[in-house]
Formats: sequence, structure tokens, C-alpha cells
Amino acid sequence: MHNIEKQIESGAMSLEEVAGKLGVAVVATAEYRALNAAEKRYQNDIQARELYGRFREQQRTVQLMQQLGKATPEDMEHLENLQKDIETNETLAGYFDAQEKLVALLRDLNEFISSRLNMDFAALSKPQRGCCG
Amino acid sequence: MLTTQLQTAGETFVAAVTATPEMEAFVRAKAVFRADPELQDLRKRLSQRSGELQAKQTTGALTQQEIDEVQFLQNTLNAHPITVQFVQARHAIIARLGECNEAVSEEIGFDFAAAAAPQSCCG
Repeated sequence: MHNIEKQIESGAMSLEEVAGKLGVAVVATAEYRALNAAEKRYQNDIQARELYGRFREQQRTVQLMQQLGKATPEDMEHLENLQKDIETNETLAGYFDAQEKLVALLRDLNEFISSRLNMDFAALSKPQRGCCG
Repeated sequence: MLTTQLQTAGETFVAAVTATPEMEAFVRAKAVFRADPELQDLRKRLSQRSGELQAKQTTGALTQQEIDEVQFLQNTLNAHPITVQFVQARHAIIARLGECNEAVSEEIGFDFAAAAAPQSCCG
């Protein structure tokens, strides 16, 4: 610890460089590598991409129809069916699972840092986009 | 579960942030802000009056004079030199943390803070 403080004070290492090393440590985790692999698999799986595209499209349609008060039971059923297809699609399920695991790890890391800094690192440093940004 | 490598990198990062002039200034300014008797009294009065007025607001018995009084207390608190220094120090350390987030995010390829921050009002 003292070594780092001295290196920063002497200008041998900047705070941003230390932060960059934290990023490098994240990249080296199993969770990060798993997400990379899952993402590659998804990019190479045309069927999975097409299914997800249809789901997103239907989701947007239902949202719009709900806002207009015109969503039908058929619209909702179609969306639910696509949701089920996504859940049983190995590529997509694996991709979402890998995303969740990495986010959980990042939250743990943020808690680890924030509890020591006595301030929430991620909450304070994330780009401000308003409440629901 | 954090790996040893991640814990070490996290601890190093915390030590580096703690050693910055911005963090040192913030910790000092926060301690002064919290300990100052005049500000303690102001915060206590403001909190008390705000609570009382909130209750009155629901019954419609709130007067303009009372609103002005709370506004005056708030303005006095905000304009106090110790508060101003504390707010400035807070802005400075937040800006530094933002730069750190950019550095982490650049390595991982997406916004670290956006992914790792606790859930906000939108769930």
C-alpha cells in the first residue's frame, strides 16, 4: 500500500494507471472470459440473433400498443411465446447467464471498493443520465 | 466471490484513491462540516422545521412565511463557507472517481460504473 502511495506521490504511476490495472484484473476473471465466449457464440448463431431480434421487436410493439391502450391478448401471448423460446435457446440463455454472472462480480467488486472508500464508487462515477436514464 | 487478484487490484486502487489530494481534502472538509456547531444547529433546525411544515402541507395550513423561513435556513446552510468548501471537495473527488471509472471502463470495453452501481429508482 505504501509503495503505491509513494509511486503516485512521486508521479511514477498515475491514479488512472492504477484504475486501468483494476480493469485488467477484471478482464482476467473467469466471468469476463465466459461472457466473451458467450458473446462470440451469440454473434455466430444466426438463429439465436434472429430470435432475439423478433423478441425485441415484439416487445417494442407491445409497449407501444399498451401506451395506446390497444394491446391485445394475442400480442401478449406472442411475446410470452418468444420469451419462452429465448429461455430454451442455449446460446441466448448462456449469453444472459454469463452477463448476469459478470454483473454480479462487478457489483461485488464495487462493494469491496466502496466499503473501504466509505463512498459508493460506481454510483458516484457513473455517467449521469437522470433517474431512469 | 472475488479472486485474490481482483481483491489485490481493488485494495491497490483504494490505497491510490485514498492517497490523492482530492480524497484527503474531501475527508477533511467532511469532518469539518460534520463537527461545526453552527452548522449542526442549522441542520437540526432545518430538519425540524421541514418536518413540521411537511405535516402542515398535508392539511393545507402552510403559510408563505413558513416556506420563506425554511428557504432562508436552507440558503444559509448552503452559503456557509464550510458547506461551500465541503461541496467543492465532494465535486472534486467525484470528478476524480469519474476519471478512474473511464480508465477501468476502457480496459473492460463497457461502462464499469453503469454495470456495477446499485439499482436506482428504476429498479
